[in-house]
Amino acid sequence: MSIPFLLSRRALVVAAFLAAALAVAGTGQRADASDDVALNFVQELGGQAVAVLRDHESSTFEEREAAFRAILVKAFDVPTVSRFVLGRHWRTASEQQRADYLDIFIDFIARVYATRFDSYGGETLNAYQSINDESGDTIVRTRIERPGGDKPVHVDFRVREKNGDPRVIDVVVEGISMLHTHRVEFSSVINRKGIDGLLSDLRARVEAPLEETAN
Amino acid sequence: MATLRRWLACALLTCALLGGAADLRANDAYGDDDPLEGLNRVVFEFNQAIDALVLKPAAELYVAFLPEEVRYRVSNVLRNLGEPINLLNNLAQGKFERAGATLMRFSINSTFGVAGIFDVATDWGYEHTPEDFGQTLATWGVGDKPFLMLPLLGPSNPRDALGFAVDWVADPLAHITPADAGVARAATSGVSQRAEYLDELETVERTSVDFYAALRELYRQYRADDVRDGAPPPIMDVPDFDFDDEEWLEE
Repeated sequence: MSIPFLLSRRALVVAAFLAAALAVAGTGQRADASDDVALNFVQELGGQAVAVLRDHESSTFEEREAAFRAILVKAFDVPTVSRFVLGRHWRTASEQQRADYLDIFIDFIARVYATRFDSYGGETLNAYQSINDESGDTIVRTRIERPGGDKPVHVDFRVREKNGDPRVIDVVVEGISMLHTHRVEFSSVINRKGIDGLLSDLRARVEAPLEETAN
Repeated sequence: MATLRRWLACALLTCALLGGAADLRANDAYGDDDPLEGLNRVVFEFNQAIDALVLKPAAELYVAFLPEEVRYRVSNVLRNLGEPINLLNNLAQGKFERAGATLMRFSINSTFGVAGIFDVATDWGYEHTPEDFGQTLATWGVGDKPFLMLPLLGPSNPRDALGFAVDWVADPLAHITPADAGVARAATSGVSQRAEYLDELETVERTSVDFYAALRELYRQYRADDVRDGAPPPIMDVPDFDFDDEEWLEE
């Protein structure tokens, strides 16, 4: 009486285990497939950005910045990023302020990163690992290898599937989140000067005369 | 020098305690809480002035007159001098494997590497694992609030200021080398580090809308990355939005 009962219990446990294992294997496979998509997406994106920014012989900074901006608009989830960076101040912004902000934000980001990365040269981006985080996004870890034996720069891309396509929602350089840093910076300006103050500061940055960065 | 060292440590400790006693507003999850912002910004202006007058020109001269190769060797030597402190802090954090590697690095680079000029140890597979007492306190559960802008030393917090003072006092090398060597090392290290950040800092200043806030946040995340030893940061909640999302516009 007890033996069949035990057996059936054991059978049940084994069956449950098998089912769980299959389920895990199943999601594992699906996750792997989407990981590959994210990894390849970042590898290609990084290659394009590096190629655009290091082409100093045949392009001006304006051209590089414009090409870089085009890559950003295509590869980033611009609405999600813009909205997140304004944080709690989105709620208090008027409709006009929101529209103005959305207008200027991506120009500002393009200017900031085209400038910051423009002195790079000869780098290659190597996407080596992707991790599924608990939010459902994929973190693609990359190394930007620098010529001359300098230590590589570690850059993580947070990738989210948006309407079936992979889109970047954050770039984390050596542990420093682009999204988070701008959010804190913007918030600090708004606390002191209000949203209009932030908008005019952003405009001033975007409209500042272009300077070629050294090297 | 010993008196100066003790005095500086006391000053840092006082800063740390004052900061620690300051009104600690709850972290609002944006990372922009800065209860001492008023004072910090005044100190920041002072630091910027000193930087423009002394440190930055010194760093520019250093870059102009010394070839990259020489500067690289200087930073290698300075890094090697920091290994005893790395060793102690790796031990204090229970990272024994890394402590062992640090001990190997210091032995190899001080001898075969000619006082650290050549980083032979890295080629031999002993990786550089910098740890300071601020990081040690962090692994013991001490948080990084509130943000402090220290005169001359720059962005910090009570934990890291205290850590800096403890490392300064505990450094075994400082106790067995003459005082002048300590001053020379501190000065060289200041100029060498400033030189490494010449371009980066200028670009951040030129592309930020609030240089102080940008540095504050960069420092906070940079230190958090140090504490995590380079593991990815915790995932932020980033809600999904679309431009044609009515709810988004009306939220």
